[in-house]
Amino acid sequence: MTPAEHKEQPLLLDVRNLTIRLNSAVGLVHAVEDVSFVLREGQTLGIVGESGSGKSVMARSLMNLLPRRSVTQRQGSVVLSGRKISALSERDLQKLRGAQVAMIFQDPMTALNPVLTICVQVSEPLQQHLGLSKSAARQRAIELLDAVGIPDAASRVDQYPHQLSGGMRQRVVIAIALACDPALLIADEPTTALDVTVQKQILDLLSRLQTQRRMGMLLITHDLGVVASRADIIAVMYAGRLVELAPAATLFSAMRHPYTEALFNSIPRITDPSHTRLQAIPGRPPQLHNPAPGCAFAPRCQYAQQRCHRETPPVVLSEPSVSSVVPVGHTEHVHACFFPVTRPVAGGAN
Amino acid sequence: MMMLLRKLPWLMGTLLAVSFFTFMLVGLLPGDPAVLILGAGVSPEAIAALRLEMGLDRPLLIRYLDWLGSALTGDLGRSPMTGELVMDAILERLPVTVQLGLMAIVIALVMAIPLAMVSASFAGSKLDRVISGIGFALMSVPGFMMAIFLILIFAVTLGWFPATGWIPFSVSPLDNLRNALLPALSLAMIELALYLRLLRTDLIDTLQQDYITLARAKGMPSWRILTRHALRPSSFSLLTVVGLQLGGVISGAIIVEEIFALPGVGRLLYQSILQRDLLMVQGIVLFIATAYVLVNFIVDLCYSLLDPRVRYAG
Amino acid sequence: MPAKKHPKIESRAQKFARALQQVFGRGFGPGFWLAVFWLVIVAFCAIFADWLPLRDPLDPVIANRLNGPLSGSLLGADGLGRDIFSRLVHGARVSVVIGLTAVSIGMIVGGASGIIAGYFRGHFERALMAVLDVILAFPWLVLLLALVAFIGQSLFAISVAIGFLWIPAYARVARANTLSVVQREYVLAAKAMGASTSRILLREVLPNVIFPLLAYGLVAMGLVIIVESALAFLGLSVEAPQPTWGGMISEGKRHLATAVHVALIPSITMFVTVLSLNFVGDRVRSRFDVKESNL
Repeated sequence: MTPAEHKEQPLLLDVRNLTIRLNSAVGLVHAVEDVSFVLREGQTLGIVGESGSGKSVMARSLMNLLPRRSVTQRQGSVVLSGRKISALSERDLQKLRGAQVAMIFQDPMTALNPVLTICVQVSEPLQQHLGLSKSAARQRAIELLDAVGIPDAASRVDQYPHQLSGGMRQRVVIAIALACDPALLIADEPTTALDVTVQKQILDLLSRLQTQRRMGMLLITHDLGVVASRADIIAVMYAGRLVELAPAATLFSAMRHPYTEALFNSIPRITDPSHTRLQAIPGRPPQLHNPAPGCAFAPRCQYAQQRCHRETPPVVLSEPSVSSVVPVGHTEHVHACFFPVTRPVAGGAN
Repeated sequence: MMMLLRKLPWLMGTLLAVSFFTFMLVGLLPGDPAVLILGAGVSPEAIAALRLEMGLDRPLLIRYLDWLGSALTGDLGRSPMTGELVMDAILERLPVTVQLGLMAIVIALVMAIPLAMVSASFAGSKLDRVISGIGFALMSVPGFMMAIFLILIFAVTLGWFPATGWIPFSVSPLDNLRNALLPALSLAMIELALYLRLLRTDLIDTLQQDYITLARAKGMPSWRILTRHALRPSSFSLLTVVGLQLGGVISGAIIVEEIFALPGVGRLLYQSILQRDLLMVQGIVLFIATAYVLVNFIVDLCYSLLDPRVRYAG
Repeated sequence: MPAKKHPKIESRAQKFARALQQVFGRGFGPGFWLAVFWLVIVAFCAIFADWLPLRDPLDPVIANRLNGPLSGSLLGADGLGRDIFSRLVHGARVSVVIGLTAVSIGMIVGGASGIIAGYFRGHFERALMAVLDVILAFPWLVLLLALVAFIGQSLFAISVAIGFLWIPAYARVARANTLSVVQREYVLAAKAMGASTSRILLREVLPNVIFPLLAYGLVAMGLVIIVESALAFLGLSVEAPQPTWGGMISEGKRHLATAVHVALIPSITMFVTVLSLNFVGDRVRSRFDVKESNL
């Protein structure tokens, strides 16, 4: 689908000013601050950030999956297909989870219950949301396992998770997620715990299934390489804030935020001469429980100026006019920086 | 199956050592059995004659092997004090003790599991702290103190249940349960505290696992997550503790049977010790210890069979 | 160059100082200190019982029979007219002495064999585990009754008998801890530097294994008191006329209908004492056990 066609698709997910603050032993943690984005049907939104950037917390908070005890403040709205799910009761949310929205997690080793068979774990949402009988659900489960590429599904279905390899377990997790044909799939670092060869297989599988079922997908990862070719739009998060969001091609050719630039530069390229020094981002990720005023990236930013340490930069349109306020429902290029990088980056996207 | 065969030598060895230890310890107790039977003022010749008749002049090892040989055929001897066959005496009283123990464990589990589930799902809350606090306090109350306390309230003050006595189930089920309730409760309370503490910790641990979050993401209701997804992995350690705690239940039963005057094996053991009926003591200790080892062995096997993580780990 | 203090000694002293700091630092709460206070009182009674201005605990004054609390004497009299308060204080001695002795025996014998088994492995370890398996095959009261009948009923004998029960628990904990310590790098480093076995055991293994053992000691004491009182209840602990809490409860059972205080007062005393031991022990243990305090 071309970017223009994308814009015609109905709005699937509309997140506005999402803010999450959590309890912790050291104080109130600002895990997610004022994040807004949209996702349309059939689109893939890649969310990129290092550990501690808040991307996982945000992903889980969409369906209110964070542990009840730790969430202290939750602001902003989450609208799914026109329905405000951030205001729903737990009971109503349960009907939604697994049915309209599904999630897959990072570690397939721990994502499956070790004492329940694959059949039980895949059949559960089928029985719960679609009301299938036990035998019908089992049949459907076998079909699903087949669809995600598990060989010999009929016998695998009665096995226990630890009898399967990591890659196969992740396929099972995907099968569970897709069981009720959700409109939105949230994939939280789906390949981080897998071998590189398996990573590609899983990502290809996800793309294929997404196209087949016309699902929207939120692809969360710390790996720029993963989103480069798979995401239509990429959002970059740092210290709980959205620092840049753009269609994939635009991001790689005309990035604006210094953090995005630094991320991009830190990827070693096979075309570089040998012994090229890796460009790491200096400094450490910020602590989230007593945020200093100003831009969170300022301490590590090579372009930082006085203003950056005093004021938090708002999210603004990247072009044509850099300072105008952002309209709702945007899929244009936006960034949050007072002194954005303007020159195009040499080398382009990998 | 392989696992069973591999563990069998350990089982045999332990049981043998148990029987040896039992015999030696009891056999080395001070006090000449012949003197105890005949009384102190009897002539030395009479004592010697009785010793010869009882085979007490033979070396200890021979006596042990002789005793063990008979024991394996179910003959634990005849008590010189009461005249009954030891095995018969045990078997006659066994149903009482078994009923007491089973009731105690069942009551403890029926109370502990829901309390632990509530405690774990609201970990850290006031409710959780109250429940944990009660459990903690219960651990400081020994069985006999709980028994006295219960008797005071329910038998003496309220008069709902009898303080002593036993009526077999076959005679009158209702009366049987009435008599059994206070003793069973006395035993159950400490077990309750232990099961609750263990299960709560295990559940809290389980509830933090990723697969629970996934179950929530699937849209499963909370109670289903608790019972099906969380309780099952945690139940295995509970099973192990129940097995291990049997020793405590048996020990508690001895005291409780004595307090409530129940005709059980525990009470028989206690009174045999008081009366220095050593043959009886030997037989009972062997019986109890053997049963305990066997039950734990079976629990261990069941654990391996039921827990898929262990079963397929090879 | 000035004579250097051996680094190991210094670090242990530092460790101890840090431990003291943790104990008296913030965060233990009023309940904790209340429990400690109670335990201090009990210990005081145990030590100074003979010198306190109390009535003779063995003196039966029939006239006072079954008097309730505050009628004459502070806590009343038992079935034979003996002063309950005085008996309570003297009974504390039995509980404390047996508690300390039994736990010490368990800790020393059990701890030592566990450490040796965990360090040297091989035949000793296998033999020890086999022996422990056999001991643990007996329900504790059954074993204890047999031991008591065998050793006798003096204060020392009871302590040894109950202490014997604790050896398996301590041996297992010590062995497990030793196994994990031995794998750590500082032990390997010491070996590589040519340290002798006894030096490694004393300097590296022991200090690291002893803390969990000590922390468990308080809770173990509570359990010992419970065990001893169960014995006393059955009449098989320290013999009359020495008063024991369990014995007092046993005597009080007879009078439940008429004079409940005879059984109730020693029961409450014992309950509070064991509860305090459990509470303090648990708190101290979770302070020093790094894994638990992160819950």
